[in-house]
Amino acid sequence: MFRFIVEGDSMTPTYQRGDRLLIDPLFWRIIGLHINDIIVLRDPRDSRLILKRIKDILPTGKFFVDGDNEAHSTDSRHFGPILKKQIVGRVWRKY
Amino acid sequence: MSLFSSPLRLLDRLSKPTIVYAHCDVPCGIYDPKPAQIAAETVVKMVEKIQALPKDNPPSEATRNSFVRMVWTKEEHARICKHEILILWTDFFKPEHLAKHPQLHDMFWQAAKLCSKNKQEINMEAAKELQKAVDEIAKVFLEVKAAAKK
Repeated sequence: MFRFIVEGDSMTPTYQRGDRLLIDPLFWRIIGLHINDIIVLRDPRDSRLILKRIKDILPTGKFFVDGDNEAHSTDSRHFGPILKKQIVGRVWRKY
Repeated sequence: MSLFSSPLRLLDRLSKPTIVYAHCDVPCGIYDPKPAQIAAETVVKMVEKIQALPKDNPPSEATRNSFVRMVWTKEEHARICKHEILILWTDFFKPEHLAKHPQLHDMFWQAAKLCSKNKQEINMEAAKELQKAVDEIAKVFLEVKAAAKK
């Protein structure tokens, strides 16, 4: 499990700035990802780690991700759907 | 704190968790106090115009229409002002800025309160206080920006 701390407001109200999250880096690779899973991924533009929710899984296998606070989120609406290899892990739980 | 999170929090003290960004980074770097200043100025202007309305009794249809439009504009711009300053407070300013500007939280809190007061009242004193509070925020904002460039 990886430990992460949230910076920013694009996932409010689900996760707030300063929330601490445990991320599953492996198990999701076996059971797969689903719509509404919240994931940590590499921003396709600069590779930094970002937190988003899977809104759709496209027939091409790409993932359309979105912030819960849509008015204040940079996501697939801006940088397009993402590849599986950009996903670092799935949020397991807050602690 | 639960039995589950306690050991993890302890672990966090020994080794910091990785930052994961939940950012709105399209506007990041385009922070500006100007929209808040314009909104505050609009609130002052609306109070001025409301207070200058004809005092005819009963008010004419035109006066009533103007009154409603002005109150609506005052309400909307007080809301915009609060929204804009909250963006600066929560997104632009960082904990390290508090060291140089320890009044930061109180400054924003008071300005946000003044936005609400200006929605509730037709009060020139409150409107001018809001304008002054937002100008003060703009001043600190510019100082922080200038320091970051050095």
